[in-house]
Amino acid sequence: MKRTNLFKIQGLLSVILVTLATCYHGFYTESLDLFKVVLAPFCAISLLIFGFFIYNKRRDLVDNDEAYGIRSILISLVWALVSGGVVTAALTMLGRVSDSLEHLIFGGAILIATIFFIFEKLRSLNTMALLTGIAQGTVILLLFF
Amino acid sequence: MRETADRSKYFSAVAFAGIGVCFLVLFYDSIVASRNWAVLPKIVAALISPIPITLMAGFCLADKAGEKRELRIRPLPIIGAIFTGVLVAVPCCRLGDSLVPLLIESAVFTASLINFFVARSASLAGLLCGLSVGITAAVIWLS
Repeated sequence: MKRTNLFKIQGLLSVILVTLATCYHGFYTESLDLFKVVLAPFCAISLLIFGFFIYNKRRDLVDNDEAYGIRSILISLVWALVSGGVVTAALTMLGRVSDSLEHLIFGGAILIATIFFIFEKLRSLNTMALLTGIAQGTVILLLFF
Repeated sequence: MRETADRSKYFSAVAFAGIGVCFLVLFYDSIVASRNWAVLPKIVAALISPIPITLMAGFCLADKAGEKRELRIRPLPIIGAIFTGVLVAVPCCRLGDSLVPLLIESAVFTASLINFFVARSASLAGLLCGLSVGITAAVIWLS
């Protein structure tokens, strides 16, 4: 399978997992303010549009067939671990500190907007590692927290 | 040659259908009959969990994919690997009700895919097979 297709599948899987984690933890929240819940994703949408406007280049380094060296693979694994830890910690804190659905949707929307930005603008080995970390962090959150 | 390929595709389809039926029966028994829907996201997460790492491994090793090296079959290392897998899997019988056996099973499945496309090692295939058989037998019969 080509690297571009693997990158697309990883991005789609990350979005599905973040949505699943947000919905799962959202079912256990107690308070529900419908106005705030509807408003919550718009911060992420506006940040995404602003990011697309400011960064109008497209960095696409996944279409080549070159072999990655051990050093670059290890660096990408560090990126994956760090991003996975950050995602798990951030979503756990959001779920524990607040008992409202809009905070969870706010955090989930920021993550999904980050995934979209990486998907469209920054395609490389390190951003593939970032997407892997986000997906794995969300899975660990669903399984163990 | 074409007949062999068609026959192996037929057998693969039958094997997948059989596995699918087993999963459906387990799903009905553990979730629908007991009405324990809260555990469904965890089961889905456990099944999906090795996929991101597999995609990352495929991404890193993409230049080596497609090389179909000759498989060297040596009986003793393969049998030793299968026994090792079964012995490692037996302690998992103590985790009969948790999601860890399911996690390990799906990790074994995705590692088998990487082995098929990249490593092509018969001993590794034997080890993964022993792990899978050992965990399934231990969870079902010993816990």
